Amino acid sequence: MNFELNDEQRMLSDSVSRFLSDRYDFEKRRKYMEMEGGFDPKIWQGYADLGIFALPFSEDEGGIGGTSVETMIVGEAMGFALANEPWAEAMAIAPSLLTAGSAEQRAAVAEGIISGETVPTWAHLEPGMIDRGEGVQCSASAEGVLNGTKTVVAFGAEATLIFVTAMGPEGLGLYMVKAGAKGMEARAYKTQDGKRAAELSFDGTPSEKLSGGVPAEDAIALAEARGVAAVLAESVGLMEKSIDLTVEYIKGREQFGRPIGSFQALQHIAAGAVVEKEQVRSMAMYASVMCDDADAQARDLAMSAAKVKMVDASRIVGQMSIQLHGGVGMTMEYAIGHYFKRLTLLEIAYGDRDFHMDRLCEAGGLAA
Amino acid sequence: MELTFTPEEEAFRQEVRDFIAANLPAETRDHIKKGNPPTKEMTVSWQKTLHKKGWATPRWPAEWGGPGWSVTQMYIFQQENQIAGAPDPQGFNVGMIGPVLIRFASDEMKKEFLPKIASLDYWFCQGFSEPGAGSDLASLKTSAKWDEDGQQWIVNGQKTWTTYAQYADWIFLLVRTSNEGKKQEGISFLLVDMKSPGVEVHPIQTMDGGHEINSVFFTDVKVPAKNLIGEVNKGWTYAKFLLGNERLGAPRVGASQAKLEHLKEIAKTRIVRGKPLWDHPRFRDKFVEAQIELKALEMTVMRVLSSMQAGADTGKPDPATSVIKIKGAQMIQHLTELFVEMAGEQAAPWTDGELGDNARIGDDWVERAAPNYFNYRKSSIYGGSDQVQKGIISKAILGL
Repeated sequence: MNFELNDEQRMLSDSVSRFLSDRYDFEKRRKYMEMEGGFDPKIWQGYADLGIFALPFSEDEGGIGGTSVETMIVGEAMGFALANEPWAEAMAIAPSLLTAGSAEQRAAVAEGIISGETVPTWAHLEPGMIDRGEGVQCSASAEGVLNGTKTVVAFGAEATLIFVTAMGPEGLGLYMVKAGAKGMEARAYKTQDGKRAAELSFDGTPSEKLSGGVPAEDAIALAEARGVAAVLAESVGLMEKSIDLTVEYIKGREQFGRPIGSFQALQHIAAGAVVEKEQVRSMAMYASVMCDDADAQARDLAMSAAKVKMVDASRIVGQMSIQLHGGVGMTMEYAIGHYFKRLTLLEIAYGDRDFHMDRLCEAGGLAA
Repeated sequence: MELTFTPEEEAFRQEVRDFIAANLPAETRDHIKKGNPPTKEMTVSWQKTLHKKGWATPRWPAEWGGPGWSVTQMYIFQQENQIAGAPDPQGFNVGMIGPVLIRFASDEMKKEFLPKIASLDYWFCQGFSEPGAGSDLASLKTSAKWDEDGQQWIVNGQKTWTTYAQYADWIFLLVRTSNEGKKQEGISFLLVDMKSPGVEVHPIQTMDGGHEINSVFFTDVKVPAKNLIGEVNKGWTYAKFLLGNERLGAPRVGASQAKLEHLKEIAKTRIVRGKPLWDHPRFRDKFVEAQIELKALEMTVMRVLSSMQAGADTGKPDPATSVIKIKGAQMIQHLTELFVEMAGEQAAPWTDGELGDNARIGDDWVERAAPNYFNYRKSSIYGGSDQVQKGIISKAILGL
């Protein structure tokens, strides 16, 4: 048992944090959000140059062969900076989905992601989908021709490579579509947290099927697990920064002739948020290790436990942050609301609280 | 980062498990699993068994009889002990006064006291709180005046909430030795023999009917000069160190894991409205939610231990111990609530012998359900209440 980061991991944490603090603050982020794709391509390239996209890929695929612990380190820094780019799609989702592909497919896609050239995303959810992964209507022919629609695809209009979950002649499959492919239309929009997403429709769109690796179901389940781990990691950074911003605010804000942070009622609310945040940090570590567990059942239950804890804590930390900021916390002008909105969207990402509670309850809880 | 245990650590776990299985009396195990606090004899006998094996003081340095375990081994040992239903090592001895002596006392004092603290030949109790000094501990008034002629301290005052004072051979005491300057700077730390003339113990019955706590009165109690720990007026520093250690042991993760498993076992056989309680979705929700919270707590405790192992142990209390103190208390309290809910109306009888041999109503765990719920309200009050912990977090972590 050991919860300490090693030297390389500490260096990674420092270098990513430094990179982000040089490029991100509230005003700069606002500018990036107004750029054409919703983020600054130079920063995306910067991540690639830093080497972070090489972390999750094996050496055979041209990567560094890191673990999900490295993804956690990056994720926390991304959350803290409130970074806009689809880093989790590149670091957690794409490498997981690619396990369904052949060695050649994996190496070819990895090369594009590692170099920064490829911006990947995952078109998974559908308007009529009953639950995550259930009831896929989008279809693929034996030749990989896609028909159907996908909903709330992160950066669906900006991504250069879209992984599509579709029902093929042999069952569920994963298909890769290049941006601008024939018959693909994107209805793009901004999301509540200042990112971008799109409704994607495919009408006879050509694609390349991932085959030669693990069954698509397994690759999807791995992506879902690592997606949850990425959510946990990012939320730790978001909560950390939310508490920082709130403490800074209540130290400076004076009412009744003194800083409101001197009032015990407020101090105890803030301290309660620290307790919750620390519990989420613990669960983020747990998730980062368990999401790569070979036992899929143990992995999924662990992810569900982590996600439920994250949702409960996120409500407490997020709502406390707005409350203690008072009126200004309600405004677009203050950073805190933007952190709150991002946390809220993460609460519902990769399965909401009920989804994960159901999964745990059906299994009778975590293994003792 | 590595959350799993190495084969060596797993082998150690098995060794601990086997030792407990071979040596823990079944009577003690059943008594504790049922939800009862261990008797004095059970605690003493188990600690002596561990002491013979060299396992009584896991966190002490080898020089003073510790087994030289890694933090992980300590954690495994504690967990196995609690899961098996063994009495905890006597905390005031092993977790509090022992470490204080090791860090702050003279060699002479260490030699005199540590072996008997480890073997539980001396049962120590804790004399900190007073009627007028609870959360505001530093306002304590029990005084120790230096008697120049007798070269001794004369102690007068009253301590309260003193757990198991009725069992104790010794008490470690915070006393006021100066009224100058800040109140924290006039406190000293003394060891007092409970048999000294002028020491009186008065029981306090708690609402569950139990007798754990007491008031202890001191009237002109003579205490030899050599029983002072460290320096005069430095007692507050030692007390803070002690409280940090107390918080670290507070969460009792293994005990909560055992309780939660027990809850599940019972729920599977307890038929409620036509089916096992376990199959009721509302119960399952509560069970799973408790399990999630406990998993997070377990991870947080392991994080704190791991950072200590990595050498971050500065001797100063880690504010993270406040987090685990708060969460550990909530956890155990919540579990006792679930037992009351599971017992339903059968939790009502006050089974204090009035029914004679027919005392039991319902299953054998039922009679402890309500008393344990009442009793464990203590855990968010002692060792620095939740509000004190939040004060520490506000100050030490948030800088408010």
